[in-house]
Amino acid sequence: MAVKAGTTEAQIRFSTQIIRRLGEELNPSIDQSILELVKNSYDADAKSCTVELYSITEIGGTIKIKDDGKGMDEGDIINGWLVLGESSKSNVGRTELNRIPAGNKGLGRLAALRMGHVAALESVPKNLPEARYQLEINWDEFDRAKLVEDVFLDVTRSPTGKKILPGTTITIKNLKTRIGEREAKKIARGLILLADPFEDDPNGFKPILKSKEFQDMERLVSRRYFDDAEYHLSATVDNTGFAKAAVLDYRGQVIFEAPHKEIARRRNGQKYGCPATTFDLWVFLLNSTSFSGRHTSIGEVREWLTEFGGVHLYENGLRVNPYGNAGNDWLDMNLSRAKSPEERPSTNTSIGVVKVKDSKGLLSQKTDRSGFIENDVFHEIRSFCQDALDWMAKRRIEVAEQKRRNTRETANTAAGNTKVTLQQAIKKLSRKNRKELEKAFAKFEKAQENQLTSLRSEVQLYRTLSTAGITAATFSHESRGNPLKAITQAIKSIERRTKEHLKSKYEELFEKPVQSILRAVSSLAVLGSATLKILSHEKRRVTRVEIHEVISNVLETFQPFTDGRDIILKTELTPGKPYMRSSEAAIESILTNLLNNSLVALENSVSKSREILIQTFVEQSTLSLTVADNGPGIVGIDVNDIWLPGETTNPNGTGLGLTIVRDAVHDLGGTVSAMAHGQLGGAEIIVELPIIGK
Amino acid sequence: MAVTIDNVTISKVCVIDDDETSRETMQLTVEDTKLVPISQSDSVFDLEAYLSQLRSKADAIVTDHHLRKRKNYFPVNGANFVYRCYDQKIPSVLVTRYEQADIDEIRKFRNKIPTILTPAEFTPDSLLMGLETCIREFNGVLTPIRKSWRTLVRVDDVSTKSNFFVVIPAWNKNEMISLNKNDLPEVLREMIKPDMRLHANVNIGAEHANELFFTDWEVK
Repeated sequence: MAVKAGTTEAQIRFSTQIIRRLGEELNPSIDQSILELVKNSYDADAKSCTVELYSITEIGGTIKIKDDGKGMDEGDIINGWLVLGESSKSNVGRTELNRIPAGNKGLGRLAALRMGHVAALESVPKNLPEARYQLEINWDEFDRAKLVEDVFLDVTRSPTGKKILPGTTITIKNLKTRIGEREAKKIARGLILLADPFEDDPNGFKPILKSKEFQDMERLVSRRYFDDAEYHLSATVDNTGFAKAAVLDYRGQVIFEAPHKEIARRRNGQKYGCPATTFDLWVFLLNSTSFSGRHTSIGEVREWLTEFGGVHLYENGLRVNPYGNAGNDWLDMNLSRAKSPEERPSTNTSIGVVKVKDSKGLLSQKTDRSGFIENDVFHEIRSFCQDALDWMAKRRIEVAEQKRRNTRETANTAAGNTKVTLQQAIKKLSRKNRKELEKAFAKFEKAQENQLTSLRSEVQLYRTLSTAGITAATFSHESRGNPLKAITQAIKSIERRTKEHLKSKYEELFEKPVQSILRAVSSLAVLGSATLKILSHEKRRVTRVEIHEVISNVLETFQPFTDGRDIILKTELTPGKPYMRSSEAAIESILTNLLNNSLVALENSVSKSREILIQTFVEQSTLSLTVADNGPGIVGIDVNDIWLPGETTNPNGTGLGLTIVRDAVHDLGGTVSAMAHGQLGGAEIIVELPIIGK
Repeated sequence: MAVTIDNVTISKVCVIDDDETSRETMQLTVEDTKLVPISQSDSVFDLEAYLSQLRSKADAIVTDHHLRKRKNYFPVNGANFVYRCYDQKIPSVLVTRYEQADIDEIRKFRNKIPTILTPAEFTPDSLLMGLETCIREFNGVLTPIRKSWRTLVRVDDVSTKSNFFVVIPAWNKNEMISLNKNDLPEVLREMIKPDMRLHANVNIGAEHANELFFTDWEVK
């Protein structure tokens, strides 16, 4: 039989089996499936999206996802919601709320909808708020049919009778599996973290799960213990690929900072080929010393970090799974810590947020939602974050090393030497040498005793000082109270009355003395405040301290006294802002005591002018602070003895000031020396302190 | 020797301070305002009896906050006293240095203390303005910084024994306010924990945290 030429139209058709495979196999976990639906709400400009779970601990339960977004009409449903495999990222710019759509391909939605036997959609569109659109998908019908196209769905429209608020509700009915406590917790965590809960943005997107797990977790996330972090790394890459970074202390003060070339040293300063990205990492020192005196307990912070620690990645405002999940260490922080444990955070002791603004769609997520496809752009983001971490670790190690060097140099104690003697004697242990050993023991014990005596007397010294401090504070408090109040009121009344009664004579006769009294009262008030300020708890916390700023504050406090004594205060400060990690109180006590000494010395001076000079000078990582005066100099006492407690040539002095200076300087890892007659002819004290930046 | 503010005539001003010198100097300012100071030099034991006869003695009050350093001078502190005078519509001005401890103590009375002045601020002009603010409040006219609104108050920290810290998002979401636990109704005192949302009437127009006051606490 002859064959007649001809053409028959054909098309590829999909078996209903493909629906199951696409959805379920590409998006395996329940929490990720639900998140996909929630992301749809984000794309629809919803401000909130509520997920409700009913009877989920048994098969046959229900999940309801309700948002207040712009809703959908039949066109949106048929040409958008029901279309699988098309990414909205490729064809949509920004939403009305200026959001960049999360843009999934509909596959995650498919997986979520198929969690039950029935998925129902109900939507009220913003552009037609009097209409409600409904659609129900019965998956059992698909299972019975051979091809996808064989199943017909109906989108129904019904009038609402009045304008109602737009939004979409999806109900997944008759769940095929049960959702256990663990899954519920995962859903809660996923929803909490989805829209950067650490930002506290009242206008942001707020997914909510109506469950106890969610409430507990929401409470936990909102604690935001960022202020308890020891360090905060804040790094950015701008949209031209240049990076910068800073490490801040708990008060937000910069401790270290670096420009692009320092961060990108490993890559020879080459730019980062990624969109604008920020990386914030808060590092916690979870030990009892760091947490002593704080309101927060280590346990609370540890619990918070266990739940939310790790570095989370947000693309255009939404979190991308699995970065920052437990066990996910995409920046290899734990590996780096294992290689070099010192001064490196781990995912258990830090929390971080990387935010990428990817308006051009340079990053793309894997279809199964297991993270980004690891293209060049993703590698560049990771490389930037790792470089910033490396830079921070390096700077922290430098500081730790410097501290150790200083400690080694100053740790040459009598007890240490005696211990060596003892160890040597033990080596020779034998009957014959017993006498020698006993002698060594005796020496050791004596040294111990001496050390104890010295410690006891130091404790006594500091108790005396504390008592003096408390008394001064009480007097300051009192004098700022009634006496100063009375003087102020009285002199102001005198001013008003004399002005009124004497008119022009007031200026001639009374203005000067009245103003002098008002100035003096204000100086006294400053003194009272200064004493109380020294006691401020905040000043004793170790943080970044800018030395010039402390100098300037102390000099401001002292000015009324130096003015009153006709003393010229001169400062010659090195350019820049040298800083160190210390407490403000420590630097303050060094300078305050040195200035007090100079003030006393100048009382005995008969020279024509009285001068105090404060100089700073930086050489490499050491700052020299010099306080010199033109008083009589160190006379009547050996220069080496001035540091000893109780040693003073001033009959009214305590002899404690320079002892405090010595101890405070040593505690900071510095040195202090004195010249009996320095550059101005009087005493000159030179303090050298290790700084970490200038 | 009198001023009239919104139809209220003030002539005699009672000056209360347990320190005699301070009292005398405060009287000088009252005299310079062209008003008659009445010095409260005797101790007061029965507050209710004192309040009931106060009207016949003075038209207004100027008082220090700390009234209890001298033994048995006054039964309550100045803030509490001004609060009580407010209910009786007696214009009163509190003069105090207003340090942190004072702020904590004063806050629970603050809704009925229209004016607090520091000693340096206490002048004839500020005294008159303070009295005027009181009288206007008695007539229901509140300045924006004194008007309170129902608002959400988020508990942030309850770890210290006497105080707890809150954030008022509608006022300043970045500033933590320290409040005395005793200022809360007893039922709430034991309930509060971090992140709890409470509601209270708060003068969210206040410019400084010191001026904030909280009334009608409730949990929602």
